[in-house]
Amino acid sequence: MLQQPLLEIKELKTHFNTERGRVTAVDGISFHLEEGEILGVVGESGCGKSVTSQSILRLFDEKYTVKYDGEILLNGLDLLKLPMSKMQKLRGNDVSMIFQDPLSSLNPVYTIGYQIAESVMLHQKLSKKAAYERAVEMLRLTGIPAPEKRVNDYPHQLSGGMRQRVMIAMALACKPKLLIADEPTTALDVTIQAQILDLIIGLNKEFGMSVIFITHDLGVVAEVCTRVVVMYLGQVVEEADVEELFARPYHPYTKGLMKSIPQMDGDRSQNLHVIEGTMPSLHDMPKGCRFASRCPYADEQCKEQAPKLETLQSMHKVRCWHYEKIVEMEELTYADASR
Amino acid sequence: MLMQVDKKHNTIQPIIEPSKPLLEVNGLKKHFSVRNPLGRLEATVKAVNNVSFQLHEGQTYGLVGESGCGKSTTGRTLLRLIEPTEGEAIFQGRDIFKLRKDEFQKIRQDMQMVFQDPYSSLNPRKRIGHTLEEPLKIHGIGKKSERVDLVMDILEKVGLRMEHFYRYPHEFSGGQRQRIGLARALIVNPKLVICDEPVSALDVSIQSQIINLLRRLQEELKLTYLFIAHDISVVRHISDRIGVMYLGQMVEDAPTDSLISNPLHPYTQALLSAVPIAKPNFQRERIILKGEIPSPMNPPSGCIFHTRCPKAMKICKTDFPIIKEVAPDHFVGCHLY
Repeated sequence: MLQQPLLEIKELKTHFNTERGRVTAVDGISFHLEEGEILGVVGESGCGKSVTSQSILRLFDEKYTVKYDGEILLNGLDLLKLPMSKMQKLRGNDVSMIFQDPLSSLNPVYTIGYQIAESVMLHQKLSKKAAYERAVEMLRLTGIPAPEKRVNDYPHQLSGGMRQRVMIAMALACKPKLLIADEPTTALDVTIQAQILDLIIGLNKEFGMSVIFITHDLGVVAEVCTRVVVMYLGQVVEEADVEELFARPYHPYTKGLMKSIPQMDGDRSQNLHVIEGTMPSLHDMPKGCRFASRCPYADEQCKEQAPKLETLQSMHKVRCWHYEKIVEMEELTYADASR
Repeated sequence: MLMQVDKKHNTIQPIIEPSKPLLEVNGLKKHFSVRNPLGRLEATVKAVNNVSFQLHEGQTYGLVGESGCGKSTTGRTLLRLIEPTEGEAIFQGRDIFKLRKDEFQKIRQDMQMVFQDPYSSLNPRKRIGHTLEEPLKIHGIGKKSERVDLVMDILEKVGLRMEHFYRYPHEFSGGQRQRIGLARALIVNPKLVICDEPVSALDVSIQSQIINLLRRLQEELKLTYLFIAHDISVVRHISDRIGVMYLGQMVEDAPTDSLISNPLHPYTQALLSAVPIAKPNFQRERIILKGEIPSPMNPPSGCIFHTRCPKAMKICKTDFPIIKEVAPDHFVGCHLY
């Protein structure tokens, strides 16, 4: 029997009630995460990648605004069916999360030591003293100099990179099985970003911690992740191993994204590739393929019928009617060009 | 035309004749004083300290560096949105820092700015057409009816439609708003446009649209850009020459290809090695810098980078490195050279 994955999301839908009616920000997402894996979730703003991650922890107000469908299985346990009290025990203990903006996620009136120790005292019933020792140990692990002193600092006394380290220390204090990192380095400078990415990869190797890494930056994905899920307008459009995805992207959106980032060794005299148009609004969802309005290959079928996520060989999944045709066409133009 | 032999590629290349710079910045300084609640001077933040560079007509000068390095302050002082502390900026033969306000106002038509966040730089209560007409009124260009035509023209040029004239900022997406920001800068026919992180707030697919637009307009309207950004791959794509700033100082200044293929300053080397590359298993030596940028209130003595520099020597702690031309047209401020 195959080993059960750590996390399995099946047909997850997250609906929001808004003033303008019900909106489905995440529409039938399925993916899984093996133990010790770093899974990248990529997409542009509004594609539902953050909503997916916050749905895993059920962070939205379920009384009024949000309704979930589908299953989120953590070690076979469906999180969407758990009572809130059980969910509370799980957050920060089995699954933790780091957010993009560390300043707004830290409480300004408590020392960082207290904030790290709090989750340890709560979940693992350690004494205050032992919890503070754990806090110092975690700060040291994340590379903060002089952690014995820093533990008594308030968030405003730290720089952006340090705050993100504190967030990571806090998320890891209970040694979770799964870390969800939602754009953890987007607000940071490249040299600091490199430090944080190194830290996350190191912790993944050392403790076998699984990571869901949410980002819009394909460069970061290539450096950190082992497998990648590409999202567009609330759906998964492509999924593959990182090497496979970068070598053979099938979906026109993935292809477009890869071509539109300026490369460090690209030809500067050429114009950048452009994906025409903008993402449609969630209130005005296209009937067929959601990318059809911006896709250079779209035809009548794409506008009318929504394609399914198909699994190809080597676990490469793609949601497109014409991926085979597009590959053939590209091979032809390539052959023409080299002739 | 003059020719020179490119030894590396064994080809003969024309030497691009040095055009006269459109803007020449010499020894620009901007110091902010930090006062305690009683008004006593506590410290001076040297946000920009002795920065010099030249912008050539029709070219793009990229200014890169991490947050707090003073690249935005540099851009703003050039338009005197912030008054500089010291230094000169020669624009068409005149030092713009010495001009009286009314004299400078005339020159401002030739120097425009595009901001990072187009939403907060557009008045939410004004229709787009109205916002775009404003610079024309200020500079006294055209009659009322002509102005509307000019606005329509510029809307089309930046890839918007005429009907957008009557819309409000909130009706536009981020990419469209940046097009409006660009239209507002270009409507008075400037020579120099200072772009302060014009694409950092945009998604990848929209970012490439705006970059292509910037390049197309540069060619059409013979614009000169000062392109300020932290994303090095974007700056590399658009710039002819790049200056790297660290803690208020220019540490390296070179033509783009020379800077990218042969970075000389240890900071530039670390910065380039930290850029994530969208190629899995891409092999390279990554230089991870220790620590973070020191506070500009209390910058290190000697070379400002010595606290984080992997190649720091004894002299770096005490002596300030002078900027030297190490390779042809490639300037570096470092004791290694």
